[in-house]
Amino acid sequence: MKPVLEVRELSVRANSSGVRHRLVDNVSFSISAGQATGLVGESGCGKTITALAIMGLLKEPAFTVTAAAIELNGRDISRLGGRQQRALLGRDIAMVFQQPGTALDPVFTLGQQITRVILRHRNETRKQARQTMLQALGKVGFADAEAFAAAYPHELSGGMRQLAMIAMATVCRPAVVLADEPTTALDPGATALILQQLKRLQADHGTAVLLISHDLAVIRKNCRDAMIMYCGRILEANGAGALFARPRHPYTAGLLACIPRIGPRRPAVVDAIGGQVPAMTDLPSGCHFAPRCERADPTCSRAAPPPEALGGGTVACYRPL
Amino acid sequence: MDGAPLLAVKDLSISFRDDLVAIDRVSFSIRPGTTLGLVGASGAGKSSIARAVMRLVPADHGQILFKGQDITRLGHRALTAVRRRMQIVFQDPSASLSPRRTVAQTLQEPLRHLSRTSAAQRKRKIASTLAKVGLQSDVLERYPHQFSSGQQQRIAIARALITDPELLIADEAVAALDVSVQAQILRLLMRLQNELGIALLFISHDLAVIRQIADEVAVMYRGQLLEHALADDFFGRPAHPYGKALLDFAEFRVDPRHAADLTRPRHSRPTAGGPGATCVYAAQCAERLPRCRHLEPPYVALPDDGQHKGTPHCVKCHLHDV
Repeated sequence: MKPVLEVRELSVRANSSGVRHRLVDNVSFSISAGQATGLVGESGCGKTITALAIMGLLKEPAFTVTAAAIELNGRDISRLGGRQQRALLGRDIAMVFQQPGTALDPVFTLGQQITRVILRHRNETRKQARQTMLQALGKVGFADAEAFAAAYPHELSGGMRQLAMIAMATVCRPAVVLADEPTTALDPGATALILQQLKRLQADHGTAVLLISHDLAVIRKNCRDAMIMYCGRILEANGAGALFARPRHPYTAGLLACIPRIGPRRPAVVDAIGGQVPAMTDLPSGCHFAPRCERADPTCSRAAPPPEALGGGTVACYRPL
Repeated sequence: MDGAPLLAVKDLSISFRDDLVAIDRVSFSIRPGTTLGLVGASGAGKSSIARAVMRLVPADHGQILFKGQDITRLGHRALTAVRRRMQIVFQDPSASLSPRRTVAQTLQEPLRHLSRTSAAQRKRKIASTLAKVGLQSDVLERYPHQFSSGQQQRIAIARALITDPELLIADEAVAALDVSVQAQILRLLMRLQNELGIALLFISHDLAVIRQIADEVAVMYRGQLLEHALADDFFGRPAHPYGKALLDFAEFRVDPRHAADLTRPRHSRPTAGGPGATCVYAAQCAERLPRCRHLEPPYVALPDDGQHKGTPHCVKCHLHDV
């Protein structure tokens, strides 16, 4: 089946006072209809930049985005003009952000904001758009859609705002939703609810979801495929089950060791990865993870290991597990 | 395990306006050198408990006892002596550390305000405290923004430790940290507990973190304490339907009744006790009985769990009221 979203060799450079460093380095992946792919990594690894680059929201001169391809249903979206891009965003591809409080406009009600999105992209009258909006709120789980349509963002909890964001992002049935840490600011009840909604979109509308998160548990349980990102590079990619059951990259294994399981016995706290994530302006040569890696030897710092096929997925490591 | 509790909260109630009850008749205690994990959804009242214990907000009813002393209504001067002994670390270190102070200035402040020490004594204390949290002395002349969030949190912990407290409250102290850094900070806190005998009130809505660090678990919902048990007893045999729901959430399962609750607009909570008191969780409960909707459940101890260890498994639920 042809993928809905295909990204090939995406790189993003930040240009600041003559210094150009890669925030995203040669990232490739694809997502099929109705599937969720997870992009996992710790803060600053380039996950959000990847999503913004796909959306075409990173512009010169601040950023230089290069890619062999960014294709939506086979159509190249990497070089669209302003008007075409505005038509695309929100309608065919939408993004859900981490902090719904700041993504929502505080001076308009939820109903007004969602209706505005509908009017921009669909051929509906105001009356029709209002009905569509109420239906969208009902679909994401608001029992009293009218009451929520009349509410301002500050009157809602974080979980409810995020549900509203999902309603807004999906009211035009986009083919792809990029969800950037959608549950990070939420407690477990709201988290479970949000992820349930994303699954519903995949099942009911065939939406392809890129789920970005630093939370491995979220990715493990809610994605079919997963990629591990570190300092702008994909270190490992595989089916989520395989990746977490049998990690090949030492960084993946280290991350997994830090996540305890909730079980009948108290787990030991494992401080599996020493040191810190390096600053993007001062990246180690060769494999960026080498200085923190127990398995590293001098070759690791000489040149970045290319991704190799292994265990059903790919891993960028000279000495995989 | 016996011995007088370090902290005892008895029937504590706090409301912020006439209609908003933040904490509703909550009782629990923490023994010296142990960790109580306080869990529950956002808005359950966990942070309000922390602020109440730190005497940052006044209590309406009930008592807070620290080392047997009633500190509930203690005046400012008398509180100063107590404040050395209990400290707090918050979720966002960049918000809790003054951006205009160097690390040295930040660490000196509690020593200046809460104890009588000479400059030389302060210098020694700062050096030894930095060592305890794994920081080098070259951090002293730098400002918070020059550090990663993990390091900032270490600085915040150093500040909390510097007066040799016996109780440390950690309010979502690792929630904003990356997974690998979270593990480092948790290990640090547990090592400090081992070495210094500090008790920990650890507030978090992340059950995986709680599972690693807590000796006992207390579950809050809408200002009430619904369950309290040894950690092994809670995770092995959760008694309250809400406790079970929390464990389900960690597996990304949401009961439809709960989904409805999460999407209902915030409403004011019923005032403590009084007519019309029901089980606060009844509307969302998958296991509710008819009486749950018009009778407040008693807080009972389950017969077997934890009795021998001095922490009976307690639950506020009609299902367990035999």
